[in-house]
Amino acid sequence: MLGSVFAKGMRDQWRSLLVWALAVAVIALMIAAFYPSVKASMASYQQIADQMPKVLRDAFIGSDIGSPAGWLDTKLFSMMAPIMFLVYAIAAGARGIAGEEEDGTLDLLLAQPVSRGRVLLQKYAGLVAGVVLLTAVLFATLAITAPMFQMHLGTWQLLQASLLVGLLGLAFGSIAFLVAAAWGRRGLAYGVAGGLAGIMYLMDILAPLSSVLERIQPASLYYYYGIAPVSDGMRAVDVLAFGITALSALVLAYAAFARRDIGA
Amino acid sequence: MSVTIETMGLTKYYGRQPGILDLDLEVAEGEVFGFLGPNGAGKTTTIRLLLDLLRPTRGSARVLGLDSRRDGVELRRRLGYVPGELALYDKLTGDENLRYFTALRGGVDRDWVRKLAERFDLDLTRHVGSLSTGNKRKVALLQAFMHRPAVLILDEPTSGLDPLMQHEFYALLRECREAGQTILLSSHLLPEVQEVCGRAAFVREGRLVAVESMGALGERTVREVEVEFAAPAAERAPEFAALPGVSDLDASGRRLRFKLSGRFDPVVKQLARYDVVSLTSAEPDLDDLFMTYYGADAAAEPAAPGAAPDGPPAPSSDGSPDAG
Repeated sequence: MLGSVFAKGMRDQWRSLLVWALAVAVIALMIAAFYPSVKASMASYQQIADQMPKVLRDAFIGSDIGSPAGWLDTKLFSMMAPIMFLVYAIAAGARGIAGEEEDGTLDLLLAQPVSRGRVLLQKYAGLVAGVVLLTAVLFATLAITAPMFQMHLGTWQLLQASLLVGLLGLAFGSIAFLVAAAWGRRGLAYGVAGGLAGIMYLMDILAPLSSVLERIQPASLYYYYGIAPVSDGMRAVDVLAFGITALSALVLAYAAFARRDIGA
Repeated sequence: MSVTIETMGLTKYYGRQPGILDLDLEVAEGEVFGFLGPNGAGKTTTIRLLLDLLRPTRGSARVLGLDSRRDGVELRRRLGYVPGELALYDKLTGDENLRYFTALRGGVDRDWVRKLAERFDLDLTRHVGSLSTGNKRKVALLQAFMHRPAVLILDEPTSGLDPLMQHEFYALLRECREAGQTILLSSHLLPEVQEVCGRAAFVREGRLVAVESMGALGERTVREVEVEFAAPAAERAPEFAALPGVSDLDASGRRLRFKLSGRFDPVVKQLARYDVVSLTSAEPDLDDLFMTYYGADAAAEPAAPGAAPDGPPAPSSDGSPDAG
């Protein structure tokens, strides 16, 4: 597992990745397992939801909490899953270049006959691989456990929701990767990517309150994630928005990393 | 003999702080070339420019005819590097560190690596994080020598090594020279450079002060010498004062103190006639050397022709440039 920069990256992160994968699986499983009991008392639950202001309901509850899709949207995809994917991806993205640079090992790595572009791409591939793995775990857990707990949802529907949360994580992870590649500092990368995620989240949930916010809502990546990924599914424009974000972050990361000084 | 390492007006500023200014340097093929200067003189900056870890503000560098910027990958394939700031993968063992670099590089003879490890008494099965500074240094040294590169660039390679290992390392350097490898050795210790180098460049505050051959330098080095005799020293003072190279002689009790420039031979021959209890000779200090040979303001007056800066602000003489 020391054959390439990518392989070494996977070797370095496999333990933590395993823990993340386990956490994703357990949380998805627990939320799914609660569905049958909620379904039983669905009527009263829905009543509470109906009494809440629309903004709060959209942000925290979703539209139809009693249905399997509404339940997963509300409990898993509105908060838990995005937070887990964002935290993992931002940490992994920031670690990419800045981790080795802050540890000082980047000097010796780049003293080998490898180009900076190759190092950058393989570090990025490590981030992508981690997000793909977590996405696959989330999807597999839901696809296997949903029918066991009276949730009859299409495989394609679950895959779309899982892909959306994976892409959301990848987009913000790529932004962290860009900051880390350009400035070589992990803390800055956490701050910028995390701060951006917070601002974009607020932009998205507050959009219904003002026409100005509503107009700039598409500038927030959460707009493409939506408030109910399971119910609403994935549109082509969503994939495009996340894809363009990730790709341009990677291109900019290369441009910045290829021309700057290392360490110092 | 062809030129292996060449810098042309190589200049690096950190903001407005000069790291190295207008460096023109030529190291011939097969040479062991010293790069000497106090900490913060710009040695590490120059070396990291050669490796393309830093990008020059202006000027350029070539190693083996390859441009450090354009042909960096090919250049580094044929180069071994020991960084001044030691950072290896602490969570990996020494062997895993070397295997990783081997995989990225190729062309490593595992037998040679094993022999080097034995020679330097290094346990490669231990995690690097648990190793002493000296042992970490050895892992970095093996990393640099393991592919028998045509050029070795070593930034303070002996710091942290115990004296025995330092000498083993000097022996290795001599073998490399015999094998035709070119070596650039940075150091802030004059004796080290004198021990292994044929020539050396002196840098201070980002400027090249002089390039000297070590033979010529040895003739001019001044050392403090102290001798303790078994009998009072005063009566012997005159005969030692008369020896070539001796100055500032001072006798007190059974001790004799003086400065000696150049060769030790006359003094040793004279001492041989007496009962000597102890003989101490301090290693020459690098700052003294600068003061003695280039004057107090040597740093502000670059000796190399054509090395005057042509634009950006001159460095302040009290500043401490260089980031490493």
